[in-house]
Amino acid sequence: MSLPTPLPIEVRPQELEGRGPEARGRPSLISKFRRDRVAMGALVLLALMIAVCIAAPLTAPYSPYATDPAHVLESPFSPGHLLGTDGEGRDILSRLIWGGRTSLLTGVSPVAIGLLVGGLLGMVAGYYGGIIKTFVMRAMDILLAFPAVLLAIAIAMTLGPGTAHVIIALSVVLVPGVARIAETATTTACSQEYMEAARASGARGWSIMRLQLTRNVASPPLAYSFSTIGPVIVFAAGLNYLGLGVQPPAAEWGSMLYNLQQSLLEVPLTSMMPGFPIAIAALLFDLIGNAVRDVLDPRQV
Amino acid sequence: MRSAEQGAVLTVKDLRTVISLDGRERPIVDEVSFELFPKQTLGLIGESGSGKTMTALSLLRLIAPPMKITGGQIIYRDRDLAGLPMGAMRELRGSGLAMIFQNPRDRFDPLLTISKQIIEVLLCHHVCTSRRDATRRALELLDEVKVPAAGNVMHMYPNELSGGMLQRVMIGIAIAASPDILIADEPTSSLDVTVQAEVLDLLMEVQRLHHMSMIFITHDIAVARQMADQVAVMYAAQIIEMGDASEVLVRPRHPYTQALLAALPTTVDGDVQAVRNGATKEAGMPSGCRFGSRCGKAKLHGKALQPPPLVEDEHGMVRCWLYEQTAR
Repeated sequence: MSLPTPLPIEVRPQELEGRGPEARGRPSLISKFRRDRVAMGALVLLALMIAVCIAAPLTAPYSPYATDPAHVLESPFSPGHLLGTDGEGRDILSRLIWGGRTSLLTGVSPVAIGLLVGGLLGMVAGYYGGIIKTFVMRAMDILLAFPAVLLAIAIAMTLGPGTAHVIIALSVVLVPGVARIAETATTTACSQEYMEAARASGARGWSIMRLQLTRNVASPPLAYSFSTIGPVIVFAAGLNYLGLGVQPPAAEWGSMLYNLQQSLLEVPLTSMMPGFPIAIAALLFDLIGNAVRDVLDPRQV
Repeated sequence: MRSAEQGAVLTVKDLRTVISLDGRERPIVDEVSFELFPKQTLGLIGESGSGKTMTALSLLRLIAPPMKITGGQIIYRDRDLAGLPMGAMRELRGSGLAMIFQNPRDRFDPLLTISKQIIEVLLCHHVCTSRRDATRRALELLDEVKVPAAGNVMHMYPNELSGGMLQRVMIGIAIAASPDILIADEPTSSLDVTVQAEVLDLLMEVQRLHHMSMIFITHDIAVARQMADQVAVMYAAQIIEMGDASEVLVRPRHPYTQALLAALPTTVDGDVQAVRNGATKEAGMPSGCRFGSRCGKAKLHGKALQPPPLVEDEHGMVRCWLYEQTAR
């Protein structure tokens, strides 16, 4: 972070009069983000998408479970069914809107959990060092040694099917990466002289972590986590595709993709429909994640 | 030395701190003993790397591996800080012994406002119980250390303040929990001469108002003369001469102190005498007199290869063969 030249306040006190506490600090990051047009556009689209999914009872034209044996495997843009119908005659658009709730939740919440748990572990390891650091970081290395996909599948299979289990499995996979980044950032922050000054004034380890470390360490793990949301959405859909997540007849993008796959040769466009929201959501999160990283952590670009 | 009748606030006996490098231990603070009396200032002077800062950090037990304290006692309020559990030691930092540092800019968290950094200390030492109370007290502290427009400064980040201003804030933080002892580690070395004078005045005023003792570390002998009641001269991890400032800085006895004072530029004649040769750079400490190889007077006694005796008399303490006889 570049430091503006210090302001000799003895010389120009009048300039400071109007500057309240609100006028400084974080807002500059937000305004930096707002200057990124692509990211702002993505944010608007994503907000729209999330709003439509949350308001599913209002926005979905049909019930996600309503079957219609007379209209099976309709093509997109057929009358009454904008995105067509599946093998049981259920409206795909309605199912995508309802399923989006689960899909987006399983995509975003593991990242949040991973950030929290991984960030905390990394900070503790970096701050205390020694045996604690060895123990925590080697445990993270063991997790990292497994291919992420296989590990998630193994965990989800062991726990049994269910949305919560998919979230847990993905969280476990995400923790080590965040912990590593947080540990590095913490070790760097701890070698700063202001940390010694804080200890010299009698500050507790815990209060140093809460007050000083969280701020000085937050950027890299936060930027990293944001950039993982996109892949994790695809990943979550993948686990659902494998039948490890929601169970029929509940709707979810990944499991819908699996269901429609058997009709791929008959109605190719219809069976591809659930792939679009997955791709779009992942892309939007990725665009936003990149912008967040640029704003929070310019050095890593 | 001053008579001990008032009772010392801090008594350091044979303090030893070492650094382990490649499996070998080298002393960085060695046989350091001194007493600090109430409301007095002990000036700790010496060249870079002589162990001044390490002595200060050892007193606060802020020594981290590969360095460690291996011996000696630090007696404060009838307790030996060297053997105190970490929790009890932490409580004493700031409330018993506080420290201010050389580069104030590096000593503030760049992401916290000044007010947060002061309030943290006030709440941590239970000087204030509520945040509102602490905010009020923080303002008072800033006023006390003569920070102009304190209300505005409270909401500023460290990068928005000048070095002198930050040093004032740091002094404010140091006195927040009313410590008995203030350790000032070259507090003015990174400041302008004019700002330096202001900060020194402020330090003396604060010391008087709060009845604090002070350990003042500096390599500026003029500053030591102005601030210190007693002076301890460090060389190669040891205190080699100690006594009243008026004695040591006027009639130095140890050849190193003499050379140090001779190296001061004066306005009277332009001749500056450098201390002979460079500082000891060898891997280990010489087994004999540590100053021996640079000493111009080693020939007078011819015993530079043996560790010099510690001579204590009415003038103070000196670690030199030249004064062996006078002690008897």
